Amino acid sequence: MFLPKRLAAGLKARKRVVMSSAQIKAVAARSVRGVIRQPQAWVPSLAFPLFFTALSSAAFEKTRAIPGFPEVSSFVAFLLAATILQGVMFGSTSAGTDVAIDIESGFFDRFLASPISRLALVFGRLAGTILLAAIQALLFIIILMCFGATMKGGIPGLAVTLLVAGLLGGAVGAFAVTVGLRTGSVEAVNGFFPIFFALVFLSSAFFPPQISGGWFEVVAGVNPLSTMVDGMRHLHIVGWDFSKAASAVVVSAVLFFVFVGTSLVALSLRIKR
Amino acid sequence: MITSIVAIAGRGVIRTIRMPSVLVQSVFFPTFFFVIYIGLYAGVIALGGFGTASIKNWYVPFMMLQGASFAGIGVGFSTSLDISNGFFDRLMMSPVSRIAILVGSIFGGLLRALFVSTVVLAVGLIFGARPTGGLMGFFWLYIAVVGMCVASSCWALGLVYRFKDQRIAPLFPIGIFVVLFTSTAQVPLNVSTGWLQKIAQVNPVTEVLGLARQSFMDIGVTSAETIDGVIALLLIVFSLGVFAWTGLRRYLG
Repeated sequence: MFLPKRLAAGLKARKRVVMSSAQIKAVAARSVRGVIRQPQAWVPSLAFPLFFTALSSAAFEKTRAIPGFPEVSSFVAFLLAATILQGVMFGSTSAGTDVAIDIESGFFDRFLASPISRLALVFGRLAGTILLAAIQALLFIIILMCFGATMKGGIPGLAVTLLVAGLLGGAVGAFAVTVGLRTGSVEAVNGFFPIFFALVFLSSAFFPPQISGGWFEVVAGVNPLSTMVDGMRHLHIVGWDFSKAASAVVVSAVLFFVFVGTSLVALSLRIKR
Repeated sequence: MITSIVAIAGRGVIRTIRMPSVLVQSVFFPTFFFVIYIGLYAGVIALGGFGTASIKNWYVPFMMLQGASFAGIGVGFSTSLDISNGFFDRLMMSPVSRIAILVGSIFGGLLRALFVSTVVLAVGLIFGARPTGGLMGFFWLYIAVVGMCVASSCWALGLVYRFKDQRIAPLFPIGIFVVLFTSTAQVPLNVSTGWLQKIAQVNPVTEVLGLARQSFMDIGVTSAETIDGVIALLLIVFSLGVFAWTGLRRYLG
């Protein structure tokens, strides 16, 4: 009698997991489809970082001659990590705006009324965002390699770059979802974007802080995004290094789990309302 | 006509005062980027050819022009709102001169641009930028600020009048951003390379920046730099003025 009961409970739990993953897949697919169908949502996140890279590389190419600048074949190669970071941050806020739109239009309430797993609402969106961030990073790598960027870390370097891009996309997406769930306002989600933009500028993404010196070197030194950028950049311009790869992955993973946590808290508060 | 211009410009000013968030945003971005740029690119000055040994002196005039330009496109945003809520059509049916509508709108944005650029200048001075061009330098700097604000207002208005739709609004800053940054905004011509150097050489904004930067360059105000800058500024303002005016005529059908 005891065994069938345990078996039944196990089967029930398994069924719940299978259903939940199916629901996450469905919500993720909806999220990806939503982005693909709105070019205005992804074209700027591709075009703007590429334009900025083209501009900066033409403007600052000669700075490679300044003593202390890392050994690199071109400024484009130096900027590859920055381009990925900027594009992923730009594109991933759409997860939050989509949630806010769903709340504003009442679709979110219909979601809650349906027998769908609550976790699927968050993880589904984030799965879509992570996938898109990785694809976006791959596109940046392919495009910039045509203009002088390198991937000295080979396939492992590429894999780590895509993983970091995905985790960062997930982290930014989770933060945007948190804001979207708390405020239910598209404007509020978009209003937070400059914070990420500022964080990228205050890191080692666009220029070596040791050359900038002064307060900037100090700020960039404590900015966790610098650790992530430096780790990725090492894989791009120097070669494979486990500790550099691990530092980039760890920082992006920590950001990811922290913001996934905040988004789950925001979800439970929204459900309680 | 002057009364109409004052009334329309006054409406723009009142609207700005009633929406402090817009004003704060207009001030925040150029100020913020000034602070970031002087930290981030402090080492770039070592390449030489900037005309000054201070990166702060190099970036203050550019950020003032950027602030003025973005304040100018605010006129486009408010006009697109007026068109969508029907106010603009009611204005068109009233016996107000068409020129007064255009000029009044631009004047409304001008006051905002002067405010924004003065705040950026103050922040620049606080952070260590040191003017070298005396009063004439400041005069030409503010002429450049006014010109760029008028030009960007005309750019935004020209688009709004033609498309009559708020969805065209994202194009306002993109156009300004591209034109500003493909000039000597970040580095001088001898430092830039490739396509940027070629475009910056023919981009009239390069000359306008030269006019504005005289106030902070070691050499001070020179007649050659002033004449080139004023001609470029007049060219930009005139061509975008025609763009806005023909757009308004097209709006009227």
